Amino acid sequence: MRKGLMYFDIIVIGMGLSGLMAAKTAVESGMKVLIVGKGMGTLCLFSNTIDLLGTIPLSMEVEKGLYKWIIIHPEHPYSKVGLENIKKSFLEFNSIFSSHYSFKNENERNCLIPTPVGTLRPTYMIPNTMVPWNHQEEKRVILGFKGFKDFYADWIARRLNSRSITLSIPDLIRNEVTQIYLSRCFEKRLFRERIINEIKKHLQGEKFLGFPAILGIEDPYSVKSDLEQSLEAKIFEIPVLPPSIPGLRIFNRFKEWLIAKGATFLMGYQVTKAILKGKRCEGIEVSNAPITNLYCADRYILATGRFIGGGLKATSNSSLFETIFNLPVTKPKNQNEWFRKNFFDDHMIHEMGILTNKSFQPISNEGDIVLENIWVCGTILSGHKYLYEKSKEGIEISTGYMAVKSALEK
Amino acid sequence: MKQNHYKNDPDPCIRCSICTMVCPVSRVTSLFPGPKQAGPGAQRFRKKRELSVDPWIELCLGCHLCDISCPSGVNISYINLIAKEKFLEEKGRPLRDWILSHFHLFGDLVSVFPSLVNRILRNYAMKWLMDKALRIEKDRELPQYSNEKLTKWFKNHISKGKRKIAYFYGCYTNNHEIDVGKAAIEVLEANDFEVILPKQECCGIPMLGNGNLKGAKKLALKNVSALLESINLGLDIVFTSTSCGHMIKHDYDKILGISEAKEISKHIFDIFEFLRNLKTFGTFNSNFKKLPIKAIYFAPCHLKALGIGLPAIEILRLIPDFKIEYINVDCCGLGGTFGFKKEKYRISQEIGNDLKKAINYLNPDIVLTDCEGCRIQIRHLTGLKVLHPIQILRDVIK
Amino acid sequence: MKIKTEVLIIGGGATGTGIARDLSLRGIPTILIEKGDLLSGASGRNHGLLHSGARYALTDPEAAKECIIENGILKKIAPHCIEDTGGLFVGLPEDGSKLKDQFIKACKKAEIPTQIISRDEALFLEPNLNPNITFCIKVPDGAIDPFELVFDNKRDAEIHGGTFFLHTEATQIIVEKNKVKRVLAKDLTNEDHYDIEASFVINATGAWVNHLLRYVGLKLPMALSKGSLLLTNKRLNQMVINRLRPPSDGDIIVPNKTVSILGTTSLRSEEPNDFDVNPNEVSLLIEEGAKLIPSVKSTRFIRAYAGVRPLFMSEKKGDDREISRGFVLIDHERDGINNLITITGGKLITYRLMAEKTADLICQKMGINKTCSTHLRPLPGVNRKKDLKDRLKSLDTSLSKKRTEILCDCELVEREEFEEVFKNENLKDPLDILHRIRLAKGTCQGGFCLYRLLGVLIELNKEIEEPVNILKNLLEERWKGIRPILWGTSLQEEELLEGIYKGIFNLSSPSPLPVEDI
Repeated sequence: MRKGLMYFDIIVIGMGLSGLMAAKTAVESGMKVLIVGKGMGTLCLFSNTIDLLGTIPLSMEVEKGLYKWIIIHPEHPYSKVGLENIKKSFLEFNSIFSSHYSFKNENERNCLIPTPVGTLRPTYMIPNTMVPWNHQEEKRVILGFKGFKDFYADWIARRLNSRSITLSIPDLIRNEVTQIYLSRCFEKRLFRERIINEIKKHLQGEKFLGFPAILGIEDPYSVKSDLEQSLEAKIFEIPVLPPSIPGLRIFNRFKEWLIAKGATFLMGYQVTKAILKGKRCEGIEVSNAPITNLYCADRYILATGRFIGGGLKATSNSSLFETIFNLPVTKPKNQNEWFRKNFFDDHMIHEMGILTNKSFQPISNEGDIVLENIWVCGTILSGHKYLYEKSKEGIEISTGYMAVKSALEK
Repeated sequence: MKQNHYKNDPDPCIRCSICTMVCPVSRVTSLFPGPKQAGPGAQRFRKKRELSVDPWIELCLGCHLCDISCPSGVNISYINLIAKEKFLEEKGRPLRDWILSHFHLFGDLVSVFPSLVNRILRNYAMKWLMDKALRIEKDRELPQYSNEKLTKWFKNHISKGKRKIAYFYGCYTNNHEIDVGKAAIEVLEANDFEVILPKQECCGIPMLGNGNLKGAKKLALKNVSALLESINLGLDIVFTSTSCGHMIKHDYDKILGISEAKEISKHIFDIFEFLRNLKTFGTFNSNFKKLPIKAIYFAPCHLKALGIGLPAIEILRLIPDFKIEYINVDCCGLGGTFGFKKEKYRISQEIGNDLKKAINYLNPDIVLTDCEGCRIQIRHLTGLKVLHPIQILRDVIK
Repeated sequence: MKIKTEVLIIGGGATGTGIARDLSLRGIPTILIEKGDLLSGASGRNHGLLHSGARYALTDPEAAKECIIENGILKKIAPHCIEDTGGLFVGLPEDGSKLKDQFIKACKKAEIPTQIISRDEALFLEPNLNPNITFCIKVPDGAIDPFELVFDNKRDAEIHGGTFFLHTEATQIIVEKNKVKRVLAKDLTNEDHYDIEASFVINATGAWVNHLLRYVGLKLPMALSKGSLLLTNKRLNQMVINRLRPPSDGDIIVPNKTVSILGTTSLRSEEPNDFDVNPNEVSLLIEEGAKLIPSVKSTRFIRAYAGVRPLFMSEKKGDDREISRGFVLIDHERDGINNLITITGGKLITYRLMAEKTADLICQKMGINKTCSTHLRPLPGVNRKKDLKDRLKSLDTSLSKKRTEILCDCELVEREEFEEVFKNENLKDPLDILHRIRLAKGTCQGGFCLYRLLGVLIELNKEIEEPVNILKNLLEERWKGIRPILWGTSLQEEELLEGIYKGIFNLSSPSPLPVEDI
């Protein structure tokens, strides 16, 4: 017994929301699960709220919109998951959060939330530290902090017809503060008291106060409630530049849950090689120099995301490939065509991804299953354009859930 | 360390700042600019043949939390370590740092009158003097010496078992916490292993942490040849200190460039990792007594860096009536010798306060952690009883 | 607004600004108008190479001689704009060794000091150098920051009475009786109109010389040659590295502060603002660069850019590189306009000489006897040198100075520096500040700091209109330099930034049709 051989029922590769969701689904089904990821996924970069399909108009019930979408877009991951399973997966996602910090939608419809540049963004579920944007609401103040360079209250306020206050942070000996520093400050009662006193001096009877999304990590709802009580106003968070504290809250919740339920949580290690035999994966090698550890399972879930985490890679000579199993990538056109002339154009590269059948197994262009015991989920899938559809978290949650469900059926 | 980025290459950094979000130091002090800036950020400005201008690099704990969070695979702590080494080589290291990283040398001297030395180390006037003269923080309890060294106890101990195994105990266990060593030996024997103690020096991590790679390498080379002897006899090696273990298993080759250590890496295991392997193969003695207490398990930074999951929790969960909960806080703040230094003590405490708060909230009977540094720090922060999980295991084996 | 002056300079590149300084130092009232910000043309889009002249020793000995002299002068008057890195000329096995001796002889003739160094020493100085080099010759090349240089020239000119009107475009040149009587110009930022009367007009518009000359019905035989360059994320070399062979594409790698610049190509162009870098140029630069420094093949690139060289065609030549890089000073008296001068061609590093010759001509025509002093007087910012070490110090918060937050994390630009420049420079277009500080010049090319820049601008200037559109335009401008190098880590970077701007900020063009329309 020379190598650290470890055997699991399911191995999930990737620590983004789709990987975490897949791992949760597998654990709930009683499986022995390993989740291994290179880093922390992109939750902590982008996921302030849970998008489902932002193109559905605000007036339309999301279920109806999804139903229509699926009919028009048969190649889309939502179509493969199916409406019922999308609903189930969202219930599963929500079940991991306590009533203290939970996600809600606005009347089964999309809602708008403010952005760091004072525009509005459609989303589906928001945490209870955020509030759907209401144009009617008057007397709003946006609060910024001196030295917090990732949030500009003046800018946002101007565009959203609000007033702005930029506060100095009490006893600040440092020149700049980060999202995490502020979040931890807000978790301290003493700090909150001093900030509240500062704010009170500047308030002019406003009842809606917008803060950057840094109201604590462990228990932001209590922080918010405390502020609301003392300021006698409604408080809401506004997402800021990465890193995203709301995203971190989601990540931490999943991590705690998975470890408590006995999943093996291996963060910070890259899968460097897949051991393939015919159409099966026999094991994966995870490198931790100078050694590699071999992990084996019956089933593998590929949830490695797109380029940021290295799920997909592109080289200077137009080659674009999936980095672990070398699964076929759809439409790998010539490099010149990956990106269009303008930054804000709709780039071809976003349509590239792993082609799968209805059960999320990777298939070739002809429809043959490439590897029998691999299931693919998350943004690495083909058939979607999450940036433009505003569907990132929805795809991650629903396909993460569904990929494991499909895998367990086999 | 992620693949193919051994060199201190800043290229893979996409400036996402996730590392700065997880860094325990930069979230409590503005003196440290955070891993993104200290590592790949500053690296673009550093020139080999110019003097270092990054005194803040000493504040990097080497906890590796940035490395494991980075989506891109930047070897941030490695970049920091190399910069720290250069800075300290140029600046020179004070006597205090020499003392703290050569603590293993005093073990032999002290073993003659440990209780006298312990009294001196507890003496307030002595600590005040050390604080003023050497800048060793007086509010820190200094590690007390055990009545005898583990190696001495082992000389009078007969180890029996069907197979043989080598145990790297580490100088802290040998001099200050021999019960951890005894527990490890007893558990291994209860699993039918005859324990061998190979000749060993300090693993070198205190020197590494103080940017003295040359000194660390000298110690490492000695350990490598001694450990290879055991391996060549067909033995595996286990360790109880995750700091020593990580140093030998990964840093000997990766950082100190000792390629012979690769062979050792394949055959050296954390003791709970080893026991977990036994369990997989069905040869693990899981005949446990009941233990109806509530424990919190804290994962040391080096355990996370070992990338073996949480084997101690997996094994301890098998104990009947035993409640063990994982505490989701990163980094105790001691950082090895870091927290003993007067100018760094406040930072060390600030980092540890999060852990203290979380532990107090959960109100456990006992705290368990595999790293001696973490045990020192948690005792210092909470006053609770803190043990190595192997000590619990030894207590429940029938 | 009516303005009267002695000399009107049209064109705010290195040459025009250098002339403004020279004339102002000679006490001659001067106005410069420039349709954009300073350095909008080739001056702001070149290799940043402080030539020793060695590169021209064999092909253009006159140019070589000029270079080495100006090299020495610039090192004296503008040391704060220069990194005296030294340079190496290396030979690869496929280049043979014939050129080596000719090269050394030619350098000697041009009085360019050379020193043969061994391969081992070369590899010690430059560990990333291709170990297969066959020989190595050291020359006094350096790296120069054209922005620092030109802005400091402007400062000196203004201290001595010169006036600059940026974002001011000439719209008409009125000629009467063989003289330029008036030049009409328009401020592009606020629609102000200027009616300028000058005794002399200098056309220093670089690649736009013919655009200006059409107002007077003249045309010069010019060749526009586009040259593309690539920026690496990290500095690969400490000295300039040249390939010793007849001047060709991709021969030179110049270190510049935190990056290295690979260059250059030479493609005939029709437009003065043909700034697109095409994929073939990118591949070529990488291939050729890798022959000098092998790690170029795997290194990360952060930007591709191009500049258009104005080349004066004295005779029709095939390869644009063969047309002399020497400059040309044309007195349009020969064309019937007695007070119009065009100065064109040349290189960045001979700008001062070009300015001197132009100013001399002006003085001669004015009949006054004032001599040039630009080679003797140091530029005003001479003590303000800030090298990489100094900039790294901004991370040291223990230093006593009360610091402000760092806006550009990649290039360590503090808010204080930004505010200072913003207040002192009185910019018509606030975004011109990007040419004056190093914000957005680093790894993410402004991915994070362009947002912060606008945030701070809004705090300082409440009247700024439509900041979201400004941000989008900045990102589009940035994209031009990013698109040609999108692979590997740079592609990961873009995914992050798209996620921010299109995702979190929701700044996309309209998303796919709302579902109910279908």
